[in-house]
Amino acid sequence: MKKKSKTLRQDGRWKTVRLLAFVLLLLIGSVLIMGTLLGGRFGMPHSLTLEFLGLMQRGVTVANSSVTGIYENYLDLLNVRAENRRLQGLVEKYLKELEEYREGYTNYLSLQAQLDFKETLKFDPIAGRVVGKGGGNWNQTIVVDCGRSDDILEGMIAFSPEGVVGQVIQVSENYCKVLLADAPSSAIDAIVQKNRVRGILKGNGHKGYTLEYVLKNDDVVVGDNIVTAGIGGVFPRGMFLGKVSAVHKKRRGMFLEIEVIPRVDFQNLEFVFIDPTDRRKIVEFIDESRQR
Amino acid sequence: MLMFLFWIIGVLLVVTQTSLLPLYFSATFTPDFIFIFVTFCAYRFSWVQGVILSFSFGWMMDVLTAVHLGFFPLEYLVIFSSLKLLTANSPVKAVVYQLPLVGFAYVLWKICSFVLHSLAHPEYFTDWSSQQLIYGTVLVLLAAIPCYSLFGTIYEKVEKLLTSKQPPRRRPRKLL
Repeated sequence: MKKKSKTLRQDGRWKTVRLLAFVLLLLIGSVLIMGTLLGGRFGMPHSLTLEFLGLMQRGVTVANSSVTGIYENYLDLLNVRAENRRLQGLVEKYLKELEEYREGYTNYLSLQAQLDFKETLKFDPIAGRVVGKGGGNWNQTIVVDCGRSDDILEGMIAFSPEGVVGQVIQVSENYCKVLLADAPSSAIDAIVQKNRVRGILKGNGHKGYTLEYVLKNDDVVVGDNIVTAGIGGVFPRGMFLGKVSAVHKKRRGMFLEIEVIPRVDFQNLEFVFIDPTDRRKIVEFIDESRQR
Repeated sequence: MLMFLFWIIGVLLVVTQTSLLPLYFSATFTPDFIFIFVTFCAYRFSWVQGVILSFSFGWMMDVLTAVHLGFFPLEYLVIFSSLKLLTANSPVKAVVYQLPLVGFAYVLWKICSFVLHSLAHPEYFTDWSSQQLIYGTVLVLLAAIPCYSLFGTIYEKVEKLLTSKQPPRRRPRKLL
């Protein structure tokens, strides 16, 4: 019983303390409110509160701006990536276009060179497009889209602005086959341009030509131009064939071994000209006159 | 301890309400979180704790946002006291009534505040906007649902934690 009454007493005291605290708080609050309301002055308590809350606001604002900055940077980065992809696409597109223009320009230059060459010729050659290449690895023949309908005959010679290409060996109505000058079965009478030393230029496949039957004491050096001799009536005189690339002087034998690089790029021929002169008739005429 | 924790939460809310939210939302579309918090205090905290909290937040809002000082603490104290008186020993304390009461209190507060300001500072008298009041009330009601849920969860968890840390009372020995 004693304890119970003590607890009650304690509770009662505690209630009194709480009530007093509440009244005190209300009093302080009222004083502050009334003081502020009536005085309207921004006093020290206000200043302290503003300092404290201002600091917090600053922290929040700075943190927010940092986060926003990071987010915006991230977004920018995403945009940059998208922009980069778009630009890459554009670059690829323009590169492709540029490639086409380059190709067109190269074609133009090539055609212009051929036109210039054609205009310098005394005869009127027939131009043809190379439509096929044959002969296995050796590329010994080409097919040109000119045939009998274009007055092409067997034995006519094909050439390009760079020099001799070969000789027409088979003709159909609209196409003809040309034996290339670098074919192993090809042999052309040739001379060294500078000193008119004569020899036979034989095809050597992808290695080019070899100039045979040139005497050891003849003056032939690397870089000399080799042209057609015009003997035998097949090829006209003075057409470019190639350039001496190596001269071998062997102990045995009386002839030099001369390697010649063709001026014509047989691998990449696109157009050729065909001399419309009927070479067979010329050859027959020469043969007949020899027999007489 | 519980009061101190909620005081910190309140301070963070005040800072958020006055610095972060205005960056992203216009004032018309921002719910009054401090008001919601004060009403929550009225439902959950005792008179002493509630008065301290309400006065603190009123004071802070006064310092940070008010042009004419002194109104916010007074208004918040009145809101707190009214809700406390209504809910003490009354079925209105039930959860069903809480949210509608928050909306009702908000409308009343805005009307009273308008009248009070008009009387105190007639030179700064502004036009009454019912539309804005409706917007604000709807926003407060919508925001009160998750806020009450969050504050309630925090309150209960912390209270549970504090209770579990207290040493159990010993039973007095029975005298033979």
